Amino acid sequence: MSNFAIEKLLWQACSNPADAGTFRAEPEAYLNNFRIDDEERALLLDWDVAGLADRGVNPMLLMMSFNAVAGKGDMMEYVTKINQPR
Amino acid sequence: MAEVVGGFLMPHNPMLAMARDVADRAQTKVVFDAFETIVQRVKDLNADTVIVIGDDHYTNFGPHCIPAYLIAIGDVEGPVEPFLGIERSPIENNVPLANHILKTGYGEGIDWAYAKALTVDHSVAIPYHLAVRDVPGLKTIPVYLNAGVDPLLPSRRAFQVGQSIRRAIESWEGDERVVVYGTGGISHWVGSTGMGRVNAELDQRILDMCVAGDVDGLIAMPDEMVEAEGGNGCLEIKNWICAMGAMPGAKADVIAYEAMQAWITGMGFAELKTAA
Repeated sequence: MSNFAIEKLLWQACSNPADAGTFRAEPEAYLNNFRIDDEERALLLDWDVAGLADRGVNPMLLMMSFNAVAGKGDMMEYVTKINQPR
Repeated sequence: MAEVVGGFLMPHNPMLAMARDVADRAQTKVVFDAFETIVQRVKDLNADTVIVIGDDHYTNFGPHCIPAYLIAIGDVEGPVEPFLGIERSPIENNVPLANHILKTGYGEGIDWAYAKALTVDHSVAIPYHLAVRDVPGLKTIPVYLNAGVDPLLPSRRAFQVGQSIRRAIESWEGDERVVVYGTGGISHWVGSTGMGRVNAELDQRILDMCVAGDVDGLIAMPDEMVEAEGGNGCLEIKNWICAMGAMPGAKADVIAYEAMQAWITGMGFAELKTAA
């Protein structure tokens, strides 16, 4: 598990609209640029923010990147996902 | 000689800009009245410089470089986040004093990171818009503590940074009248499991410690406990602790507190006062 790489790819998506666009349109291709394993890739492709948070990924970054890449502009969508029963 | 003439504790919740109409009206009025109270008090104190102590939200600083504590010594503008709905604009810094704080720190083991050109995030921009820009002539020195990205700045070090800021001000050749703002908190869960909760009991306990001037008690609160009971956003009390470091012996007068469910935050305001 490399939270370093995950936080790097999420932060780049938050900071660079072009990266966010690539992540949104071609997620597999975007993730290929980073050293993550298959389990991490699956969590990211599913936007399993609860699973990623449980593994120690920074929650502020999860929230911002979800909203930048995958969210539909409704904060409650993220709140529901992060608070889902484990 | 320059001096620290006052200190204030306040939230920097982005909802204050992006969602001000979604909360209970009475609570919203209390909150905005509290900011107006601070503005008036800063005017009464004839302050000309404010040190706004905030924390980055994994926005300006990324995995490649996360400063433990940083001071802006040059150009400042903000905010960096378009979603706030606030037009980005210049913020006037007090460049000579900011550089003196940096160099004073270097001389006593406070190894500041620094920014020569900084676009601040909401932790400085919100206090600026609600508690600085309406005070004519008030210049802003932004300070950032790492209260949001693990591994965090220890609270004891946040306090020592505040102490160094005070020593720097008191050794400065100018005649500035400086106020310090400790921003953020109190309980809130920022993107973390529990988001939406507010722990009013913990918020009151923290405010009571501020009223008692019990900064040692605040420093002694383990980060793990603060995060478990108050959410990751509650770790921003490190910014409050830093402000208290610049106001030795100060006790807080609470200006207002509201547990804002719609804004997912316990919103606390206080003035730090030292005995005359």
